[in-house]
Amino acid sequence: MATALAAESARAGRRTLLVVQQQSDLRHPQLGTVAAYRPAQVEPNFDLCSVDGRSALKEYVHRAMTLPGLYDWFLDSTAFKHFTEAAPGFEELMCLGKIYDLVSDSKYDRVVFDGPATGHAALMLRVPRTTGAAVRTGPLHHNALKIQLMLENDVTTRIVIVTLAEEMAIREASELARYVTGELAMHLGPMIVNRVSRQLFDRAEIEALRATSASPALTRMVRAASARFERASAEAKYIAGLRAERPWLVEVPQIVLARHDPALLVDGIVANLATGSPRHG
Amino acid sequence: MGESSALDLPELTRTRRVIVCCGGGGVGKTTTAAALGYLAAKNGRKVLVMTIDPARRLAQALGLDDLGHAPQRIETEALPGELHAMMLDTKRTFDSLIEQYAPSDAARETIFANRYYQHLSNSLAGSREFMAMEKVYEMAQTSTYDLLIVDTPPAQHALDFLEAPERLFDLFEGSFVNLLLQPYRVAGRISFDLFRRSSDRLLKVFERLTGYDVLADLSDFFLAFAGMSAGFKERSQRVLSMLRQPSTSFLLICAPEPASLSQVDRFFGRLTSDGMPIGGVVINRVHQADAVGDETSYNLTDGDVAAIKAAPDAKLGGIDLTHRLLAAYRDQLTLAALDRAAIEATDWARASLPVQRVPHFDRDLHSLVDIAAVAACLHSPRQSSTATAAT
Repeated sequence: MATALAAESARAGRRTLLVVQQQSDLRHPQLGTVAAYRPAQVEPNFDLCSVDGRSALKEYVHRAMTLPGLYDWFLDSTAFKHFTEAAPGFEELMCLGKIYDLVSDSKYDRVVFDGPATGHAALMLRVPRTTGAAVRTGPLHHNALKIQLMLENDVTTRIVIVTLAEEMAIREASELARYVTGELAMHLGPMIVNRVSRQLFDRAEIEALRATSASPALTRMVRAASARFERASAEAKYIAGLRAERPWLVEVPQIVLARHDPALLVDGIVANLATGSPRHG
Repeated sequence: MGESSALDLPELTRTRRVIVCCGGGGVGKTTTAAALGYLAAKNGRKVLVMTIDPARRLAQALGLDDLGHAPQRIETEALPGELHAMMLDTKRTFDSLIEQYAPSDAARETIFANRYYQHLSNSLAGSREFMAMEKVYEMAQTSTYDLLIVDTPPAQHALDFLEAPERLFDLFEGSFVNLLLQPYRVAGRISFDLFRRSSDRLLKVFERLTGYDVLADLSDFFLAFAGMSAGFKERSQRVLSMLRQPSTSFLLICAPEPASLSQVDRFFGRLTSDGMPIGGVVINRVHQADAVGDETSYNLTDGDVAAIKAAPDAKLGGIDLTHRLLAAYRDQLTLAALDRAAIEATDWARASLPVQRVPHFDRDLHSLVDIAAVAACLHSPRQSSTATAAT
């Protein structure tokens, strides 16, 4: 979904950067290119990069220190590597710090960060606040504060929560939304419900079809139709509940392609985002 | 993929002491762990399912409002054995480890009072994973449960919970921390100040990045832990040794999508190189073509056409009922074909990796009845899928 949001933004003419966190030797699953630390163009107006804590810190040191090359021995040392791998919240804070830099950079109109899953997203978003509380003074404190202010800034940042139309997923998304707006004092963008089953039938049709004495072929079709009806009905109920709580909600239908084609899937989602998000600005 | 051997999950749940469910996010790990627990209890075992997922999915899967750090028995009359569940509280587990390994009361109180510990023991990288393994080890040392099933947190890069203890010890024993502790070992914080002024280059760089207070506080933090490092490490090695026993099985859980399936390949490589016993792969949410037929079944009889015409036609979306019926059916077949293609592209047969496919359910799974339905699919490796695909 993050890829689709970035693609939609880029195709609307905004200079857009998609930031992911993934192993440097892996191809991005939707874009098919390897995401490097340094942003690279994947489409007109659309750059991709992958951030990690150590690279972000190295870049920071190179900027902050005079004669930065002198410190590479320190940053590349095993001792420091061990520290950065295990230090509390280090990875998250450095990544968010890098995103702060990218947001501050006038090169991009929009930066889309592909964040972690629900429970872990809450932990990550809390890191600047936790760090700020644990470290009361000094550069680390100031950087944490700076990042926190960016995340809380209504003009700069919106947290877009993506969920499936399943009871458990919607409950988690709803809890995250309350946490983000309450305890973290951040601001939400649209809530996106992905892979929504389009309702193809109404109850009277399904009941009539179920009562039909039919051939094996029609029986199988009715079974598929019935499953579709039940699924779509349940999803509609969950979505209605979520919409009552979060009116700014975008539904993206399940897109069934004849073969696995991530790029085509992104195009399909972009098309739906463009039509389904009146306040997407 | 050629034909993989069937994964005999009933056998695993009857014979193993520990089952570890691992995989990426959103692939149904928690549901699988709960269903395995149900299956084991159905076979008369006393089983504990543990999760460290902060999103409370296990509680919801079992139809509970919440789960706590203490194991809770899931009340059901249908099971000859016992099903228990718990959600790990990382900080409490960390606290009890410190209680156990602190060399003195003073050292223990120093750690509990340390600001870093208070703020960050929950988010110390890898602490959740480390504490989960610690809890499994603790439980395995008692005879309270016959089987422990662990629902691990989603792993992206590797099997984080295997690497977590190593990272933690690399930190505690690394030269960077030793450097921080060195002046303290001489004469406490005053010495730290002098040492810093006299100045090691490494500390200078770090101080400039973080601030003096951070450095001094970190020194306090690591100094408090210094006496316990050996105990922690020994315990961690015992945990890893337990995981390598044949009485443990790792299950790789995934969805029938190319990205999820390739992640299993990576996990498989990592676990194998670590000498961990792999039970097999569980592929969740597989759309079943044989549940609805195949494309050759499109041909409707005259009777079928008449039956459809006789049904009320709401013309949803302006489309008549026949076309919508065909569309729903075609979608079902397409999804099944996509899943099949993705699974066949894997190379698990060559690796002799047993596989269990669990059908896609057309309803949400959030009660013990639902978990029982999933467990039924795990119960009979070959016939599982078709019976319960559409509900």
